[in-house]
Amino acid sequence: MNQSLDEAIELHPSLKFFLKAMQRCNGFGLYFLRCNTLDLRDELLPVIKGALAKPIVELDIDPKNDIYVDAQVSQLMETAPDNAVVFIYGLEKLFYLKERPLMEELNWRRGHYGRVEHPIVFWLPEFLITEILTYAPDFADWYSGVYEFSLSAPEKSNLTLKTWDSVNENIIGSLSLEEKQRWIINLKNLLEELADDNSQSRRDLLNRLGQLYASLGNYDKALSCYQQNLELCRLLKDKENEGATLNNISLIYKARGDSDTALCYLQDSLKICQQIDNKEGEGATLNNISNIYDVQGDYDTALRFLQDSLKITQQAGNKAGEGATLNNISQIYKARGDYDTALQLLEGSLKIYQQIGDTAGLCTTLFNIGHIHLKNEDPEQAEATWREAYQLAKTIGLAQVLNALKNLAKQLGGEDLTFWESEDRRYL
Amino acid sequence: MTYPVNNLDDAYNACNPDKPLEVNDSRYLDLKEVRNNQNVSTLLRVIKRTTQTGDFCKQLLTGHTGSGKSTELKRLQSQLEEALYFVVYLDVESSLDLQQITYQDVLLNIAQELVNHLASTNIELDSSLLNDLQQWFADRIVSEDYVKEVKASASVSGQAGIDIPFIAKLLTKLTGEIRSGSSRRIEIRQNIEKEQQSFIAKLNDLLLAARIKLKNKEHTDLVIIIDGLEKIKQKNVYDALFLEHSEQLTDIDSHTIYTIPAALSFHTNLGNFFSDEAFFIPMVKYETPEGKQRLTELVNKRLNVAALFENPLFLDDLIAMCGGSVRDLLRLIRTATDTDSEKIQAEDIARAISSLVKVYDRLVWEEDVPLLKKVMIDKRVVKTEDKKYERLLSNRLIHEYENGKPWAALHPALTRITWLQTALSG
Repeated sequence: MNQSLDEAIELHPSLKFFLKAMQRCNGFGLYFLRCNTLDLRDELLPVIKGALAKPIVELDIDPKNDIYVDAQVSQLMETAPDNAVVFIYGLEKLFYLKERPLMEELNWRRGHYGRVEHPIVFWLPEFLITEILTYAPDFADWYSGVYEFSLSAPEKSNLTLKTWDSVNENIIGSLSLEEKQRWIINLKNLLEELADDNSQSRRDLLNRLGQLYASLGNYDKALSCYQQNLELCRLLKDKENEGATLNNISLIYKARGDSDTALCYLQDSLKICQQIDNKEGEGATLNNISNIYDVQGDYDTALRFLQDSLKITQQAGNKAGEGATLNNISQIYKARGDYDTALQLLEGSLKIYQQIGDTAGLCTTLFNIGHIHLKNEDPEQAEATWREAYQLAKTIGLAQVLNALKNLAKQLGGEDLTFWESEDRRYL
Repeated sequence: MTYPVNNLDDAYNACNPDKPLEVNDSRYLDLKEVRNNQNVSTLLRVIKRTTQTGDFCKQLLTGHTGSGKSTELKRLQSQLEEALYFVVYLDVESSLDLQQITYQDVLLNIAQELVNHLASTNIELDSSLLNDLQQWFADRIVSEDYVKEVKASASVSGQAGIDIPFIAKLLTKLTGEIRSGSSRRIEIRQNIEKEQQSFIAKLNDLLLAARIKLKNKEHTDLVIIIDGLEKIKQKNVYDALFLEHSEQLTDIDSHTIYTIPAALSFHTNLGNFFSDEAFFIPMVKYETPEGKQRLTELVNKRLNVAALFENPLFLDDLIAMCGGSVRDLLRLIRTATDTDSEKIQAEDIARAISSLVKVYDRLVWEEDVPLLKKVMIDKRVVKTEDKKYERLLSNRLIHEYENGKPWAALHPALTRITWLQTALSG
């Protein structure tokens, strides 16, 4: 969307002052421009380039380039016109690199920036401005101006929806480490934009961010997101999301091995689900509770909770939940050595998933059935079942099952998933 | 540009909050009466006095970021040179690019700068001394092969016309290894540590020879200024440098001035090796009539206030908000000049102040409130175990002044942060 300068200044009052400073500054000057999203930058740049009578040299930071940023700038400016201005984007990508002490680099090397006889503008998300001011104070203290730009309200919700749809629960499992880190930056930036907003979008974003952190093992940050969400839900009396967030928090404590605290949170969640008659939530929470006891080896209690969960999901007509619970129950019987019952339950689960066309559920169940066959000393059946699971998992790209099958293939002497392509019987 | 300037475009460029002023810049104003009645002339006197008694002055210097340390040190250098001292000025910021700097790096850097500076001013040292030093490095620090390699590449890239003794190039190469974090860095540091006594002895031989040569050439004595160390933020690094290894840093036979982090100046143990107390450059006492007057004068040296401010009293508002930090004052003025009018208006002043306040708002944390409250009441920096005060000092949320003895106050920008004011009054 191309805006006229006047329109842009209407929307972004800082623009006028920023342009003036750029026009005036002769020689070195350090500037921080607060811009949280790429969309906003794309909106502002054409306007700035059109209005500024000076050439703009842009440096988009590549995290793979380990040359000091100031050296990259100096290099760029060697052939630049005298009155050029430098815009630096993407410094936040370096911030997340563990092996790169960015704050120290900026602080120590400020003299190098100083020797670049041009105004230097860092386009930064809000959190990084604060970070630099706090942890690179000698460098930051040279600043001549901090100019803040924000998305307009309708643009904020558009962006949120767009981002929201592309990062859902199932996708998190299939993201690479790099992708997860990028999403974390994106979501954090978006949350910055929504700082004064108490909408559903904000709660959803916090939830997603928490899940991303959790999937990276960064439990402290995940917990912080969930706690923020919890406060918000309580403030807005959003019981449903409060229950879900309590569940998410419990998963963190469980991952840390703190079963007792995890259980407390689950019990709180259970109460709320029962209060608001959220059968689906209740079933899921009972499942999670049973899992705690399962992990502790208390199969009897685990079973009890699963049976409660089963009743509720059946009452609520929640077929997917029913399938999942039957799977969980089967695992208890398997652990007890009762393979026949386990198999029965799994076959029941299979039928349900087939009824509702839930391929992911089918894959998981088939995977589990394969293991029962193995326990029953029927490797032929096991392999056949796993091959079936593989074919289905392939069609929907179900990362969790595919990863498990890959590891299984390696254990059986194969190299990777191609092990499951072949019809040859290898037996175990 | 001739100062003071008469238009807003030039006013913008007359007020740099970044680089220090060069020695002959007409914008300079000595603010000593509104700081602590001392300026670097005091240090000049101390150095002169110790020269006469044959001692060495080992001086520490500190102050907040932006208090004017580098500007003052450059002036000291100029005054020393006027008094015929030979000054070797190192800014570790440009020569040692590290987040982990050790005493070995600093001493090596001193040796390098000394030898190179002497060479560039055509002061020749005895070649047998230099060869001996070179051999010592080849034997104890690196290796014969390494030295041969450096020799070979040095002659290849030989700079025509400049006759720098090889030892200078070798030392430059070694500090280069340290700066670049090369694999040799660990080896070099370890070996210097192992050969500590010997290294310092060699360095002192070098210094003695240099001083004799310098005196023969009509110089009064040698002074080494090491600037930039105040920027070390990690406690373990500056503790290791200034506490654990103060003996090594002061064992060298020359007048030396080191800058240190403001946080360390509270440490009681520093006095053991370094002479006197750290020379402290406090913030300007901006709330006294003299302070206001001097700061107004400072601005008027750069721009014509009457011509460029709609009402000259507007400058008072900016002075009141800068907390005595010249940098903040210049920054406020820069922001205020971003106006459409011919002169700076009331709303520009308000905008400038609000911008500054926003920056400080980003720096204050909720957990700082108890300590800030205490500083407000006690008017001094409270040294707590957890060293929380260090961040508040380095981020200039607390400023230090002197009135015979040191005292502290919160930066005035904090009074405009609503949540903080509520918390502080609660």
